[in-house]
Amino acid sequence: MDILTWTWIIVGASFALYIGIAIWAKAKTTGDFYVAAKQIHPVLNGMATGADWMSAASFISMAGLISFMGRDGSMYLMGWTGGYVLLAMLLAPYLRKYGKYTVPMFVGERYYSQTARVVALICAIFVSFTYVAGQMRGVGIVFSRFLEVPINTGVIIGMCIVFFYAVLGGMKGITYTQVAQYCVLIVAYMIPAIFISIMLTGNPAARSTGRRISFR
Amino acid sequence: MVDNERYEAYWKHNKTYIIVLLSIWFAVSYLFGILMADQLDSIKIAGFPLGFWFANQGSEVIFVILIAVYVKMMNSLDIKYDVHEK
Repeated sequence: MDILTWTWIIVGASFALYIGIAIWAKAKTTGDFYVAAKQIHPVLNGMATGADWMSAASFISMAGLISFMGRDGSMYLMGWTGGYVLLAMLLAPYLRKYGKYTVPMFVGERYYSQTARVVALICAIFVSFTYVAGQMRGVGIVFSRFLEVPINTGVIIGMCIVFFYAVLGGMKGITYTQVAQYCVLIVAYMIPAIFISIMLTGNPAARSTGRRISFR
Repeated sequence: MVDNERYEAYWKHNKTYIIVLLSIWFAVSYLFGILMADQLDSIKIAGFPLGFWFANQGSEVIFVILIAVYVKMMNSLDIKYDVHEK
């Protein structure tokens, strides 16, 4: 079989898996939709968060940024990851303790203020749009290569698939698809890393050779 | 102990944890990874310059440890002050 058939089979199988999970995890109540009825095991939640950390934006854009900017690119790496520490210490526990579903809901309740709520809402929309712009561009590039369509068409196809399983499954569907993605991503990251290491050093585990390697 | 006093003490404890852990957070990323990177680079560990290592691997690994430590400490603090989820 040629490489295009294999691509179709592998991509088709992973999408079938994601959509299957969404249908299985169909959300029935508001609590189901936003917080998966608080029924998800912490390890699975961690895997889903991990998949978010290394999704399309980091898979494509971060790798590109770091290879173009060199050492300066590591500030994105630190900022990207450091945000999780702030989130885990300053926001996430209280969201749960207050029993709120969204950050603006929590902020509005905590500071007894509609204005604070609106500010939080604007921040949330701004952050989400920045994130989604990167993600969607990544999705578009992947689909345009795979289906040989223009990038914009790729973005629309990707959006339809994500919309389908996010709306149907709610948080539970998203979490379980993220868990599946986590496994897929780890394998997908390891393969090029191992082969590049073998090509450069003859050793599957990269080690420093004590000199700078130039890719030019 | 009155409930209010208990909550105050709990909150003070919580804040101390956050301040200590976020100081480490700041030190490994901003200080070691950016501001002091050039000085630290003169130290080499297994062939990697230390400042470079902090920016690209060390700080991220430490971040994950910080989150795990915070979760562990808060879980035992919740039980100590009897505010844990039942």
